[in-house]
Amino acid sequence: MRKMFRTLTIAIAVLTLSGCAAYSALEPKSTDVGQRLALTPDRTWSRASAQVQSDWAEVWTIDGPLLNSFRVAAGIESGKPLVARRGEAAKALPVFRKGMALEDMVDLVQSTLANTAGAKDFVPISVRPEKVAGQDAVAFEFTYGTGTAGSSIETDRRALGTAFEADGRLYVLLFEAAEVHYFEKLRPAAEAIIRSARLTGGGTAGKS
Amino acid sequence: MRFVKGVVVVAALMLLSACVTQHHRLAENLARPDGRAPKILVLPVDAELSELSFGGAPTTRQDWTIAARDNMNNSLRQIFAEKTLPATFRDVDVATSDDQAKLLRLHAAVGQSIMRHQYDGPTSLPTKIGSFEWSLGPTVSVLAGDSQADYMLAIYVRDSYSSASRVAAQVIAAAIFGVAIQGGVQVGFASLVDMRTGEIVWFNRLMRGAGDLRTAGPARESIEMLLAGLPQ
Amino acid sequence: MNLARRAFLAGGCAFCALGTVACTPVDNSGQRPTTGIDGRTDLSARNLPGMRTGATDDDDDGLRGSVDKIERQIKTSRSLVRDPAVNAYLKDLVGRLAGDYAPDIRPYLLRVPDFNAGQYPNGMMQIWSGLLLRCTDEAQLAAVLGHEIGHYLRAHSREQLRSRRQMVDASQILAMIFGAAGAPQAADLTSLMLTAAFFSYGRDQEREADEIGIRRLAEIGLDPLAASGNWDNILAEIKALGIDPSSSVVFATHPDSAERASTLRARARELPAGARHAQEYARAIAAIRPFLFDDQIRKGQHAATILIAGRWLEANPNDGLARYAKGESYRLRAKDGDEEAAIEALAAALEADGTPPTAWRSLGSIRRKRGETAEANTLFREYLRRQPNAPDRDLIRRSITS
Repeated sequence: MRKMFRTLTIAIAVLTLSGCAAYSALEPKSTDVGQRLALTPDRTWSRASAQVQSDWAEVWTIDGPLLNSFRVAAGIESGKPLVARRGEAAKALPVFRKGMALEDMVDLVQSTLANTAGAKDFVPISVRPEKVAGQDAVAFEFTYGTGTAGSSIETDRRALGTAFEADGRLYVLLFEAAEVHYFEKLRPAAEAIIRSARLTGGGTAGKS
Repeated sequence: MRFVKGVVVVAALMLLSACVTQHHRLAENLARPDGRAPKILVLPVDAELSELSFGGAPTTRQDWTIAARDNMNNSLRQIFAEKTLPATFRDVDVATSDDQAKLLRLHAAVGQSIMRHQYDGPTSLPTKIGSFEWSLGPTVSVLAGDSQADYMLAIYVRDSYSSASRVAAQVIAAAIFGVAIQGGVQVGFASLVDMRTGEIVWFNRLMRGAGDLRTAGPARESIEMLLAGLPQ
Repeated sequence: MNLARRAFLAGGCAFCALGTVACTPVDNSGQRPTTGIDGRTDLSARNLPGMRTGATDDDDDGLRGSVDKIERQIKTSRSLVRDPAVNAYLKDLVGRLAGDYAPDIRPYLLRVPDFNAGQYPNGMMQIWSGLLLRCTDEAQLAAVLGHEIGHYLRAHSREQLRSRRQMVDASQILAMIFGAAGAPQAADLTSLMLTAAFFSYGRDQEREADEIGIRRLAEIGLDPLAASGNWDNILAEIKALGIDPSSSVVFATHPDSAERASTLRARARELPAGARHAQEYARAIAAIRPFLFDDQIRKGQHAATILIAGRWLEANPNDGLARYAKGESYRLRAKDGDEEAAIEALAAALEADGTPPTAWRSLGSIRRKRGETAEANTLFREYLRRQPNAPDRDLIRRSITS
């Protein structure tokens, strides 16, 4: 515990002293994710640097991750989890399987949030078929909670997103926000990103 | 204990570079559509005081916390009375319904987010530069309850003080680093919420290394600092 | 930030131990309570201090203030399970175990799918829902709660408490000043620390709490063997997940867990045998069992879920919910041979009692994947018939027609 705290403190100290920004501006233009997916936001987001998070391929936010974030996993191979983790922590993470049913991808997203973000108490709102980036996808929406009960940073959250398989790999676009106010406020921005998704051809054909 | 020293050093660095208070304000005046004086619902101060041991590890001191809360709540009442601002003071910080609890949790998250992302620092957000747009949304009115308040004022303070052994450490720190650490770090914010729109119309951050909240005078001073720039 | 969280999760907070935060009660006389196992007399015959209202020293006082606030917030927490029947049952069980202390202890059931319970010094007792899923009878649950009450009665661990609190507060200040820049959960350091602090009792204190717990179990007529059985179950769960016990927080801080289990087993044989109350227990938690299993499945720790479901099936082979949970876990894990195991368990679930509609959908998914379209469609239709308002109805309808 002490070791972890020290690591944390040092990380913050380094961040402070180096003057490195944890977030950079992500302009509303086509953005490449892992040379597999192109996303075009309709407004400027703040993009979290690798210093801040290395779990997801991308984490973008408008008001800070306590209030809202847009997360991307792109080109996840069969047998791999949605987020990058090492060691024992990785063992507990659920993995994508090639040929997975669309409805099971929703469970995978929730299960990943449960294991990485302390998400719990999921209440489904909808699970619908949808076309995203020309693929058969599942569009989902649900509420959940994070944070330990009784702590001052317990939050009520709501998420929407989509998941699909292309060429045997999994793609997940997830928007999650504080359930009150912040979710509806940014729903159009999140939906715009999802609508803009284009596959760019798996790292080879996609380069132009 | 090394990690704790790290905290203190980084905190000291932050303090050296930051002003004591820095506020954001969307409105110069608090207005009501009908022109009458606006009513402010004042939540009890959310304060916690702790003692720094030699290594700098803070330990919550309930006796100090209670003294500080009483001092600050009294100062708040005095100041509001002196300024003849119509206010309703709430005694307990407990939500009376799940909806209220949800909004108080959101308010805590928004307050933390402003502290982290609105001000210049390593975690400031490009999407927040040049504007101050934070809100709890229109459902905030459930927090007003029967008070019919137009605004809600919430104050949050965390403070720490040196124990005797800590004072020795400060002397050493001053000698080695040339840095004088006054004692603990007083961090807090005051936030004024428009109860119709949910907008945070005014927010003030306090960060300083001095001021003893356990005694009435300095506690009032901190409250005055926190309320500096409050639109009226 | 995330590194820190990771390191902690790797510790296996998910399936933790019997020993949790149990803290120091304070009494007006300024003396530690004299209740407990000394002289092996009945707890109820000891000299019990009455209701405690005041504080005796700064340390206790400081923690009590924070804990009171946690308790106030818990009352309106999203995670608080509000089902009146199960709450009434827990209150009654805690009351029976605590004896004269019953009015002091206030249990709260929280929807957290991990094995844990904790007694705080102000009387608040947290019971995590994952604990209820992992107990299949009243005696097992009572063994854990009795142990917690034991810590409470014995005024344990001022020292651990002190160092713990330092961690907690330091983290609060850290979070406040610098902010957790990462994911929302990273901000939750305080509770993280508080949770981690659950596992740091001294060896003697654990033994004392074990002894009080097991005696109370016997005194209220429950089977004292349940206490060591719990340890066996936790070890089995950790083993099933393939996690190195030494990397788990609980076993790192409880190196003597095997010894404790055997001590408890030996002690149980000296005490009068008692009842398990499996049916009473199953009835008491019936209303919340679906979400207990659902949350567990959602964690994605399929080997553990299969094991837990297996335990419920030993007690009642006709338990449709447990059959479904077992089959669903095999299906989601999807390793070699899992598909066959999933088909077997899910097909059995369709014939059992209390099976959730999702079981038809799950079996349908497997049939569709195997190209058995007609069977799949029949199952999907049955799913929609049983749950016409299913949130995924459009998706399932589309897969029937396509």
